[in-house]
Amino acid sequence: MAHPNHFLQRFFNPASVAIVGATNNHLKMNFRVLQNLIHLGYAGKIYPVNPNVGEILGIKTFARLQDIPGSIDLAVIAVSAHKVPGIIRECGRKGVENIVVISGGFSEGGEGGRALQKEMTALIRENRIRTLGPNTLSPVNTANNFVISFNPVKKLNRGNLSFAFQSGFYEPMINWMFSHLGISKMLDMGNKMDINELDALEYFAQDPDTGIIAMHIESLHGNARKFLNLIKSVSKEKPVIILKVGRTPAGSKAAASHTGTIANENDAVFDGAIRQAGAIRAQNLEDFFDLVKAFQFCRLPQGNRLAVITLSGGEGVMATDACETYGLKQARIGDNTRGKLKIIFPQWEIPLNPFDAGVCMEFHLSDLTVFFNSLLAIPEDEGVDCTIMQMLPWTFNETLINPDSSEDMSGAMKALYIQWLLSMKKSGKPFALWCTSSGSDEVGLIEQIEAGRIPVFRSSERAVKAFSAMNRYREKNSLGIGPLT
Amino acid sequence: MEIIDKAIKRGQTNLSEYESKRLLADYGIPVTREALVGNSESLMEAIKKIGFPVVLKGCSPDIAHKTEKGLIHVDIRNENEALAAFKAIIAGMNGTENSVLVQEMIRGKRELVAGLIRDPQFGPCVMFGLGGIFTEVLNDVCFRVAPLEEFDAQEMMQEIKGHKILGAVRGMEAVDLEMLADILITIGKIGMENEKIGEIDINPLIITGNKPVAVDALIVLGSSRA
Repeated sequence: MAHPNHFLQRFFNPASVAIVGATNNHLKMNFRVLQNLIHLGYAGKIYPVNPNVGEILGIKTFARLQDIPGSIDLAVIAVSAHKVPGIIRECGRKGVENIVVISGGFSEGGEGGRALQKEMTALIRENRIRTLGPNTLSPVNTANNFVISFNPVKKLNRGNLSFAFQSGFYEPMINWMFSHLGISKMLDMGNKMDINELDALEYFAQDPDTGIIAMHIESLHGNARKFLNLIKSVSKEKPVIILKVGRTPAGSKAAASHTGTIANENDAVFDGAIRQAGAIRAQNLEDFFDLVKAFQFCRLPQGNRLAVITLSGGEGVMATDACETYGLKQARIGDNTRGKLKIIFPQWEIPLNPFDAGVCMEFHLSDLTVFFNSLLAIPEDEGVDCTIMQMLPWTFNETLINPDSSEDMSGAMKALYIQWLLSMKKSGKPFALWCTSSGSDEVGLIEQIEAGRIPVFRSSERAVKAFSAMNRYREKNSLGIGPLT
Repeated sequence: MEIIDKAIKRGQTNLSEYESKRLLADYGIPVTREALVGNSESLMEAIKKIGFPVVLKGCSPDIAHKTEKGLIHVDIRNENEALAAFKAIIAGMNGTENSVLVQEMIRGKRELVAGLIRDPQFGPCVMFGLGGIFTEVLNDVCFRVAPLEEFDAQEMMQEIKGHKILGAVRGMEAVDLEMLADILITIGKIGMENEKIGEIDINPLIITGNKPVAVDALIVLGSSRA
């Protein structure tokens, strides 16, 4: 596969990496950095650097960078802040062109820290070194199992989603992310001393493995107009989802002390600007992950007509409210579809959107297969652009077990349900579930359903919000259905 | 532009309402018909051209918040009222010459705001929203980075929460959205073409019939934000 001719390429695909400050003390965070690379099977050369030990996790360890025999594509620096300038000088002498500074305590760390960062800025310019951070944890590239993280990463899940963060806030949830989302790359820009959001966006725009770009931004460091123009052009091919925080004056101040930037942003202007450029703005963290999930799992809706299948009339009303609030329209199904649905609805209930499937199950359920298959007509209807459905509560499983039979049907039921959900996707139109409860049974089921790339949202409202954002994105960028990624 | 250069030469940090509107009008933005007068004869002459009812305002680059200072007299219907208002304004302004603005009285219940700011990061940005006292109270405004395309301007008009005010409501005509979009696009253009303009504030932009008219305007010179 063709790879972009961009300087960040070597941050994501280093042939060799030095870990300065590697340790064999498993209680130190640095230990995980090396452990992850080894456990996940990163194939490049690994050079731990530590003057006090000969070997870490079975790998020969070097006292100084200079002692490393080969060339170093990327040096990851995890030593105390005051030692970092010295290490950068060593990198310069060794000919290292790319570094990641994990250490914190620079522009976010008072006057002393700011002075250190200033010294570092001069040093990297002088030595022509590109720098990620300081105050960063990354990069991650699932294609070559290259993961810089403080958390033991269990399993990678590859996909077309790439993230750029201005914080390591995602670190504690990295394993959750890998269990629900298909990820290509992650970049934490930290204090953005050198590499900033513009570089990240530029790289992801060119990267053939990236199909969806998700960015968390506290403040802009690159040229803001360039950033907008780049969003405008890349949005024609790849959705750009932006979580911009520090939107209140107090939040903006907090962002300034977090990554040592100047808070001079007008949130209303930022909001209008990225909307104008065609990006999708996430309002908060939940919204951010809802959006990336929807964009990754579903094709773009080709219109705003929503069908709602609910298990309770009450939830149906809530979903209908959400539909109106977020600019979708209640879909109207054709006579043909209504005819197909009549089989499962009791005589006194007319099948209308929102469809109360609970009524069918309560009063008319003789054959679950007939029930499921009839509902398939809803997403197929030409008056429907997208469908959401309330997830079956897993207690439902038990109501289907015949107490007089010794046969255990529970596993088979679950399999049948998931199989049926997958056929709901066959129309190619977006289909999502919502599940308001989160008992342990539900969590397990949600994980299985999402593995089949059907998003499960915590409320009908959040499902509607995500589909509405997708539809607006399509309209804004005049896009067709696009490939399923 | 000449108006700007002259004002800077005179040491002004902003254009007066009259100067601001001349500049906007040069770009094709509809403004109130008005004249600047310095004595009672020119006042009467101006009124003859404009026709009652009129509005009289104190006009100088140094005054902001004209309402609070009692320098605006609206709905003046005869010569006596006009003379009294003229005298009161002159007294309130310490007698700067040519300093009273006579303008047509624009009637319309819908007041909007349109303007330009220079964002430290994004540069010139166009602002649009609900005007008059609602600008401060409801803060229902939105922004786009200049230059604007037709689509951007249309989107801005949909984006404010009070966008229904632009439709046919309470027996009022639907606003000429194309004309309103043109105003927003033009404001962006002014920002792109005139480095020396720091800020434009058209408030209120009153809808009369179905057409927007700039009733008050202020252009701030130089960078508006530190």
